[in-house]
Amino acid sequence: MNVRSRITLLFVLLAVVPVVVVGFLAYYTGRQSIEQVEINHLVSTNLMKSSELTRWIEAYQQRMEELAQRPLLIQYSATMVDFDPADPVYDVSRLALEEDHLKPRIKPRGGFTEVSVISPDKGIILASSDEIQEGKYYANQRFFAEGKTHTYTQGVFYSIPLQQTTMMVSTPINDRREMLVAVLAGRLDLRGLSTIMSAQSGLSRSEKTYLVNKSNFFVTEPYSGEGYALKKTVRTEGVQAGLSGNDGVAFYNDYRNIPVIGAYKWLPEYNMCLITEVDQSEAFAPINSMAMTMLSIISILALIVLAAGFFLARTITQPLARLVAGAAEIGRHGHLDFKVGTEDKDEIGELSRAFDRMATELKMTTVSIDELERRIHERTAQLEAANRELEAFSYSVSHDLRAPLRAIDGYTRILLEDYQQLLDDEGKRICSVISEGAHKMSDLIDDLLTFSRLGRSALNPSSIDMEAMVNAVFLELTTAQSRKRIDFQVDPLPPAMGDPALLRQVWVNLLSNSVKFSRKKKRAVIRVRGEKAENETIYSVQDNGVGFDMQYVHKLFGVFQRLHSVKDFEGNGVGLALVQRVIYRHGGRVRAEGETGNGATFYFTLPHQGVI
Amino acid sequence: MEYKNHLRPGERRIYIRLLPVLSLIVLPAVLLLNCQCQFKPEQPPDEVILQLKGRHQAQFAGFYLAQEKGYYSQENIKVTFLEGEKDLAIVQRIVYDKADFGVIAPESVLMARSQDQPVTAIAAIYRQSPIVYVALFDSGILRPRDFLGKTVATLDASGSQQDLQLQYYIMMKRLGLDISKTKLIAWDPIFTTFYGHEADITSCYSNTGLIEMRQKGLMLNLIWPSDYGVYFYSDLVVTRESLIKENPGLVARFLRATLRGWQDAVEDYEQAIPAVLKYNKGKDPQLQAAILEAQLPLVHTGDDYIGWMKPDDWEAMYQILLDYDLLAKPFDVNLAYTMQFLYQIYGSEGK
Repeated sequence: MNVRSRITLLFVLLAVVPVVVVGFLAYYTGRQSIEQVEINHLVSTNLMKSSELTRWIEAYQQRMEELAQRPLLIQYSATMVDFDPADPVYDVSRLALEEDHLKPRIKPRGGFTEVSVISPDKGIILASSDEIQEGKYYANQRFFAEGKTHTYTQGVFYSIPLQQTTMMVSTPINDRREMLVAVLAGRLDLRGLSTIMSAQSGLSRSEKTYLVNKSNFFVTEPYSGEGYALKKTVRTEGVQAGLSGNDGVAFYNDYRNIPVIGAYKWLPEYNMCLITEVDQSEAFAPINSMAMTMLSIISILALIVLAAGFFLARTITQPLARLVAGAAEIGRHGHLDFKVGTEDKDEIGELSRAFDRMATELKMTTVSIDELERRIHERTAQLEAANRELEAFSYSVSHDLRAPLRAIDGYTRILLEDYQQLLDDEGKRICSVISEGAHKMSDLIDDLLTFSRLGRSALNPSSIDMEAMVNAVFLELTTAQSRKRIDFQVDPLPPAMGDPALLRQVWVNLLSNSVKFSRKKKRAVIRVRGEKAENETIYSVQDNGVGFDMQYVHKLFGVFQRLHSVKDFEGNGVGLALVQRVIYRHGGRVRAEGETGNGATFYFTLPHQGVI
Repeated sequence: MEYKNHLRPGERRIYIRLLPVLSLIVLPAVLLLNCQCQFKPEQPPDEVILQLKGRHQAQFAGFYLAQEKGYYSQENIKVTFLEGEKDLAIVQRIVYDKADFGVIAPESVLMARSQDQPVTAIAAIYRQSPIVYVALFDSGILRPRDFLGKTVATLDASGSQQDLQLQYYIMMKRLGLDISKTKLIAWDPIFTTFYGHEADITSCYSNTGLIEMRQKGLMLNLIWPSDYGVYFYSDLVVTRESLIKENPGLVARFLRATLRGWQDAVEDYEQAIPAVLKYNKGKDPQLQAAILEAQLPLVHTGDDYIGWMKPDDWEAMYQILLDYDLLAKPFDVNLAYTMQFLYQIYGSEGK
C-alpha cells in the first residue's frame, strides 16, 4: 500500500472510527433507555388497566349490593318466593320489582344489560329487567351457586343461549334476620370492559391490551379486529408466562407473529392474564431513525474525509515523487545537474532543497574521486613498469649468471679430465669443490627463476579434484620401496577452483617436504585432510617427521630460509616460499604448526569464490 | 377391518403352557433386538372403526384433524370413519363389534345402559347440548309456555335424533306444561314444515340447523332447554365395556389422539376447514366454517379440559331421565361413563 493510500485511509479511520464508536454508544444507550421507558410504560399500563378493571367490576358489585339491600326489593322478592304465581300478589310484586328496581338498573343509566331476581331453591328467574328471561333456570350456573352466600363475579364466559361473551355479578338478597330470600344477578355491559382494554394509554399506535383466560382463549378483542374473543387461542411467550401466575415483561412474537415488547400480569381474582403489547418496530422507531441518520452522517463524513485525505496526501506525495524521480535520475543516469527545485516552505520543501544541495556537493566530490583514480592509475602504471623492469633485470641477471657458471663448471671439468696428471689430490679436490659450488649456484638460480616466473605468469583456473591430485603427486614422489615404510592417509578432500599446475606444485612441495623430513622415522605417517569452512576450504598435510621449533615459524615461508642443515636434509629453501606465493595468488592463506621431533602440519586455504 | 382381540379358553391354556418355552426363545431375541433397534420390526397398527352420528361435517372436525395430522398414526392406530346411524343403532354396532367407538348423545347411553347394553362413555366432546327450539321472530313465541296450542316439529321419526324429542319432553314437564296441549309433528332435518308454517316451532341444533336458517336470513326467537333446567352433554365418545376391559391401552391411545385433534380444532378452528372439506367432499365450505365457529363454546366451555366429564353432571342427566320415566329401569349411573382414560391423559384433577 503506497503512502497516499495509507494517509487517506488513516484520515478516514481517524475521522470515522470515533464517530462510529460514539454513534454506537449513543444508539446502545438510547435503545436501552427507550427499552426501559417502554417497559415502564407497559408495566404501568398493565397496573392502570388492572386497577381500572377492578374498579369497574367493584362498581358493579357495589351497585348490586346496594340494590340487594333495598327494603322494598327484599320485600317483593320474599313475596314472590312465598306466594304461588297464580296469586295476584305475586304479579303485583313482580311488576313492582321489574319497574321500580330492576329496569332502572339497565344501561345507559344503570350500566347492566340485565338484572334478575332468582329463587334460592330451584334457581328460577322470578323477575327480570328482561321479561323473556322470567322462568328460566340458573340452577347450574356458578354465579347462582356462589351468589347465595356472597357477592360473586363470574369472569368472562360464553353464554350459549345469549350467543355472546358475558360476565355476571351476583349477590344474596337477605332479610333482616340475614336469611337468604333470593339471589340478585346482573349481567355486565362488556362494552365497558372493551373500552378499558382498548383505551390507548400513550401515543403508540400499535399498543394493545387484552385479556386471556386460563385456557389460552382471548377474552377481549386484541386489536380493533373482531372474532378473537373466546374463539381463538393465543400461546405466546408473554401469555404463557402470565398464565403461569407471573408478572413481568418479555420480548417475543405476538399472535400475529410480529415482534413485540409485552408486559403480562396475572389477575388471580378473575383467573385471567392481562397482556399489554407494543410492536418493537414502533417502540424502537425513534432510535432506529436516529441510527439511520447517524449512518448517513457517517457515510457522508467518510466521503468528505476520503476526498480531503486524498488531496492532502497528494500535497505530501507529489514533492516526494519528484524527490524519487530526482534520486532515480542521479542514481541510474548520474545526472548530478538534476534539481527538484521547490519553493515550498514546509519540511518536504526543506528536504527537497537539502536534496538539491546534496546533488551539488556530490558532483564536486565525484570530480575529486575521478582525479584520485586518475593518479592511482598513473602511479600503478609507473610501478608496474618499474616492477617489470626489475623482474626483467633479475631474470636477465639470473640468466646471464648461468653463462659464467657453465664456463666455471666446464673449465673445472676440463681441468679434472684433461689435466688430472698435473693436479695433485688437493688440486683435484679443489676442482671438485668448484664444480659442486657451480652446480649449487645453478640450482639456486633455477629456483629463483621459477619463483620469479610465478609472479608474472597468468592463472588459468579450473575445477580440480584435489583428492586425485594428492594421490597422483604422492605416487610420483615415492617409489614402491619407499611407500612400504610410509603410512599415507588421505581423507576425502573437497574439490577446489584454481590453477591446476600451480596447485599441483603446492602439493608437490608440501608432500615432498613431509616425505623428506620423516624419512628418518622407522614408520612415517603422512595425513592429508580437507574441510569446508564458511567462506573457504582448509587443506592440511601432517607428518610425524622431525618437526620444527615454533619460535622460528615466521621464517618458514621466507625465500632461502631453512631450519635444518643441508647435511641432514637437502634443499635450498625456496619450496615453502613458492607454496605461499601460489596460495596468496589464489587469495588463500598459509600457516604451519610443529614441534621439534614431533612432526609438523602445514595448512593452506582456498576461497570458495575462486581465484582472485 | 374389525378389531378382534378374543381368545377362546382352550387357546388360552395352550398359550399358558407354552409360555416358559416361548419366553426362553423370545426373551433373548427381544434383548438382541433391543440392542439392535434398527432391526426391530414395527407392530402392525391396531385397526378400529369410529361410527359417527351423522353425515360427514364440521361437527366431527376433531376426529378428522387427529386423522389428518397423524395423531392416530402416532398412536399406531388405523381409524376408519363410518357415517351417520341412529343413536341406538350405533349402540348396537358397538356392542356387537361392528364398530369400536361411536359418537352419540348421553340420553342414548343412559337409555341403552338401562336396557343392559354394555356401552360406556369415555369423554364428552360437546359438553353442552346444542339443542334449541326456534320460532319466527314475530310469532310472539318467546318461552316454553307460549308453545301451548302451537305445532312443534320435534318428534323423532327416524330414531337418530332422539335427544330433540327427549329434551322437549323433559323441558315441558319440568315447567309443568301439558304436552298434550301442543301438537307434535315429526322433526324435519331440512325444516320444510317450519318454512312452510306447518310447524310454529321446530327443534334444531345450534351448531348446524340454526346456522342454515340464519344463512337464509330468518329472524328467530330462540328457546334453549338449558335455560329451563334441561342440562345435557351432547356428543360423547363411547365404546363397549369389553374393549375397555380387554384392551384399555388401545382405548387410551385412541382417546388421546382424538382429544389432540379436538384441541387443535378449538385452538384455531380455521385450520380444521380443509380437513372437514376433505371428508364432506368440499360441500358448502362457508357452512362448515360457521359450524366450526359455532361449536367452539360447546366443546370448550373454558372451565375444564376438552372432553372432561363431571360425575355431578352425569348424576343430574341420569336423575332427570329417571324422574320423567325415560329409563327402562334404575341402574348405577357410574356404569354409563368412566373417567379412567381422562384421568390417564390429563391427570385426576380437572382444571
